[in-house]
Amino acid sequence: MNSPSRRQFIGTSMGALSFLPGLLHAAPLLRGSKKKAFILLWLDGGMSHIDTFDGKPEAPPDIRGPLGSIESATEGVFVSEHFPKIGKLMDRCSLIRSITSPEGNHDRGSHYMLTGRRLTPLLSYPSFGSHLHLDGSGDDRVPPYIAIPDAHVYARQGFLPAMHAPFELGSAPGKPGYRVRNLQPPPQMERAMKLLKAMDQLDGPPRSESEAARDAVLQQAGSLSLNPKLRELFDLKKEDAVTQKRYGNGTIGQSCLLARRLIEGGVRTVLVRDKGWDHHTNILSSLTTGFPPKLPAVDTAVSALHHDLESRGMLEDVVVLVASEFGRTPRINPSGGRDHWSRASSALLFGGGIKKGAVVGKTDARGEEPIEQPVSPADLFYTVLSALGADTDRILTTPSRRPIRVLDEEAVPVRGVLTT
Amino acid sequence: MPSEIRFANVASVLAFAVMALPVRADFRYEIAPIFARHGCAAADCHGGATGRGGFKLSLFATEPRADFEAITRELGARRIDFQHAEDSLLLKKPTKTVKHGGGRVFDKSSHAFQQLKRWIESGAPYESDRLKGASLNELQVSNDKERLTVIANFSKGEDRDVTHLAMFESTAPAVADVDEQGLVTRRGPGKAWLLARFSGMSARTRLNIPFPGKTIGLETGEHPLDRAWAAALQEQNLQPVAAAPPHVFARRLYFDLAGRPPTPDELAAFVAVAPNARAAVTSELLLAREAFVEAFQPHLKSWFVQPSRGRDPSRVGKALGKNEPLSNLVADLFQPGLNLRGDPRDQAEFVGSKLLGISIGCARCHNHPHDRWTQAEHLRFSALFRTREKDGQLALDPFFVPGEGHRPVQPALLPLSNISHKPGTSPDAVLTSFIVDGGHDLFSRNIANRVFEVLIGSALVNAPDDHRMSNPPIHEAVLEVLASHFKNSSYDLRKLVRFIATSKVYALASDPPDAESLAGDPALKYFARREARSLTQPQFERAIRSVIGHDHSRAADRRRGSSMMEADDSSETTSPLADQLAILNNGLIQRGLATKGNEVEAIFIFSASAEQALEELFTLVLTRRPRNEEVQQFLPVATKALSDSQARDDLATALLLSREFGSIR
Repeated sequence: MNSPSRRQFIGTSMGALSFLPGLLHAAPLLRGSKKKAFILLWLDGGMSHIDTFDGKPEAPPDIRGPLGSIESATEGVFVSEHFPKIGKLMDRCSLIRSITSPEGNHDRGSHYMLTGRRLTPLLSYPSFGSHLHLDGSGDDRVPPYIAIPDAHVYARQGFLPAMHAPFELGSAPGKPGYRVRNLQPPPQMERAMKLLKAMDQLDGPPRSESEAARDAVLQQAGSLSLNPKLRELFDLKKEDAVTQKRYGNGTIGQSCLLARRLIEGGVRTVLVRDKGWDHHTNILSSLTTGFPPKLPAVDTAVSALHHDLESRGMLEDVVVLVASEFGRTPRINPSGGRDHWSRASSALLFGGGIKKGAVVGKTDARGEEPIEQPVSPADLFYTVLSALGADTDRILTTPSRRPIRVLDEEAVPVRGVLTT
Repeated sequence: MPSEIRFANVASVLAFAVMALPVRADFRYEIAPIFARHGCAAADCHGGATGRGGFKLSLFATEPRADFEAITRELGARRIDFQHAEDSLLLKKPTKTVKHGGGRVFDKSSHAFQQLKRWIESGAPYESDRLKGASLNELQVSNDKERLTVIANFSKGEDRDVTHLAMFESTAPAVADVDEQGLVTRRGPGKAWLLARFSGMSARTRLNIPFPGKTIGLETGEHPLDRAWAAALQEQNLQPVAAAPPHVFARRLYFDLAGRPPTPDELAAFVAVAPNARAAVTSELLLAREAFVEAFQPHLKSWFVQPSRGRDPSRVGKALGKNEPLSNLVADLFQPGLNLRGDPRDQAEFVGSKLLGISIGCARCHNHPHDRWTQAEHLRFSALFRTREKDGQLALDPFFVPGEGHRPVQPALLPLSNISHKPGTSPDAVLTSFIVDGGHDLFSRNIANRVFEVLIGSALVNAPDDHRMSNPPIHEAVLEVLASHFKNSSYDLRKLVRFIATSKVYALASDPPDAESLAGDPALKYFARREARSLTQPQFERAIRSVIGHDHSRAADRRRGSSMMEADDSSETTSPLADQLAILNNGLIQRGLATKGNEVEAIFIFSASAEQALEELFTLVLTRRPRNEEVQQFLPVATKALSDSQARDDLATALLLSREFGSIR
């Protein structure tokens, strides 16, 4: 009759929003769902593996670069000298140092990492968050997939209906004037919504699926913006000063704090996108100067996030992944930077279902390519979805009704990362 | 080819052993189809990219030469035992005589087993005597008393019944299903196409199960589109709903052709025309305006402008403004210089899907069972996008061909045919004339289908990028009428739009018979009722501007330096929730209503009574008068609104946010 994607669309939208009438009197927001949540810290542009998680202190200067590295809590694993806190945490995380991909271009590399699939000319695939949206949101009262401040184009819903797109805040916490786009209602909205309800009631039931979907989403938008409790979810002033400070003042830290707050409020997936990791020139100053400098900011934010989740008893219910589209060239280029390098990159994982202290794979002495247990972005994708308990056998339907698997045919879970 | 020499050697060795036996089975047409039919060559089995258990077949067994090689040569040829055919791995695996990951596929009494055994016993030849040198010409499927028969016609003139080797599929299993043997089960009213596939070729037959109830009688009318449409519904015994009321129709027509609802004056003018001339007169009026160009431009850009190809997108608007034939826009796509950018395969696929409505892109990676397009076709058509004319000859630019050992491919048109090249004709011109009128009607069918979708809300061929045998139009005759009208009017978009907008199909009401039938109503699928469509975010914003301020363009706002219509955060939103938040909270409505002299304010200043104000407000926003129950409901607020601007703005905001305003019905 209608295309499956469309039925799926309406099924999802209606099912997810059945709660709405009682929303304005929502109970205190606490994560009550059994489904694990996911925080992805996406270092957009390509994080240099050698300068972060795959330090090569013994390599020649043109390889190891101007930044030093220190041994982490796991013997033989060297991380950036600017990662002292993450280094200490290493025995509570899983580190993968052997991710390898053929995609050395930003778009294609991002697509592969964010969707577990290589980009095809006909289709772009759904990202982590959209899969989890389909898999079931954590809490129906809030958007199931939120991007801070926005989502890479391939961190969206791909060929799935727009319903599965991330809700992009359009603003980053930690910056002056942080304000979620269009969340604050104008003064007359509450009165107008009452009249609107009467108006729509007289109109009778919706005439079509698209009208019904619009009703539901408009109502969700109304609830989200008219309910102060829900709006507070996005308000970092509600966090105490000590916690705010622990995450660091910059956008990475404050975004990670917001991610924790949103997860706590019932959001299933939060993407924190930090741009500006494409360091073709002067990698030393790019990573260590600025307001705040990138490496210390990540160190502070990630360790605070771990600490915070653990002390709140949430660590087992959340999976955190720190990743980017590829690594960077082992050899420092003439401009003092590093270029795109997809043959080797690293990713850090911790939380529910993730082993503590696992170090998977290894690159050669120059950090050029894996010499142990190579991992493809598709494998990583499989592993993360598995840790989250998501349905990995699902068959998706494209708009032209072709069946597509969630996972790449050749993907296998990364050995040694999952606790089960 | 070396492999052929090897085959010859094998054959001569075998000939010695099996000299006395006649060659009884042909690998290409009698053996390979077995692997396809039994799922051995499916993607999750041996047809996967790396095969399964060390045995790889081509996906859906569409490359018999490679499959023959895998079976007869690999593994030291242990897959086949000529002495004891039944001991061949090729037979022991599928019968699960030895361990087989795929389980038991068939048993010893099956036709598949017997056929494979005969083939091995007769020396496992690539070609049989009877089909030596023959190729498959055509496939036909017929339905006789719910039993499908598939006939393959070979180049030697031979017809063969291949039903037992074919694969079957229904485009609508809820209407009619077909099993592995080709037996059809009727399930419910509707139209289904039953497809048969054999050796990379497909054929189909249509099955119509009329809706139950008294036989309907439809007036055919004068309009050719309506005649084809009525005949289709008559055959299905499906009664269409009545036409939409005039105010609903006027609103629909204005949204579609001008991108906004009609003003109260325009509504009055519309109603003043005789009912049977309203569509024609009004569409004539609207098609001549600039607003039509604005409303249709985004659609045309998505069909004619390949993203990231450095083409000037304003060209589309200019062509539309001057009402140039759409075929001109095709020619533009191939302006010299543009072709050399990017991957030629991307260009070929863009042209395929957007201009011809065929998804050849699937064949970039593998031959697809539902598509007639092969990898060779994909590659050779792509090569045409890298071809230049040099010294009166078509010359191929260096063209990297993945998996083909960097050998250049010969450019060709679709379906594969060599180009008869006249010196002085550029490859661009060859492409343009092929697309627009290359002995097929793909371009007209594709554009007709897309314009129909824009105006009616859903397409005749769903998934418009992907016309294929297993994705047929819902009413073939309707698409044919539209396509030939478009072609005969020299690809005139306005004429096509007027043709559709003046039809009965376009005028149908959208009210569902009951709330339950939102999704499952067959009237929607077969165009016996229209579907109400929610406005998109840009449509909504435009409608708001037009209703409150009578100003249809943002540019005009900027020129006036007015902050009234400057939306706070009108940068693009990317999710339905973000869209609705923008509608509620981006301030567009509020600022509009706060602007002195806006339409809503004027109504309440100049109305003599609350009743009159309410009537005028409804007409302004919803293009209709309020119903009695609405008057009862809203009269108190309207009365207050005469003297209280806050009440006035609340009421107007509610109407602008209403489901009815947010939808084209």
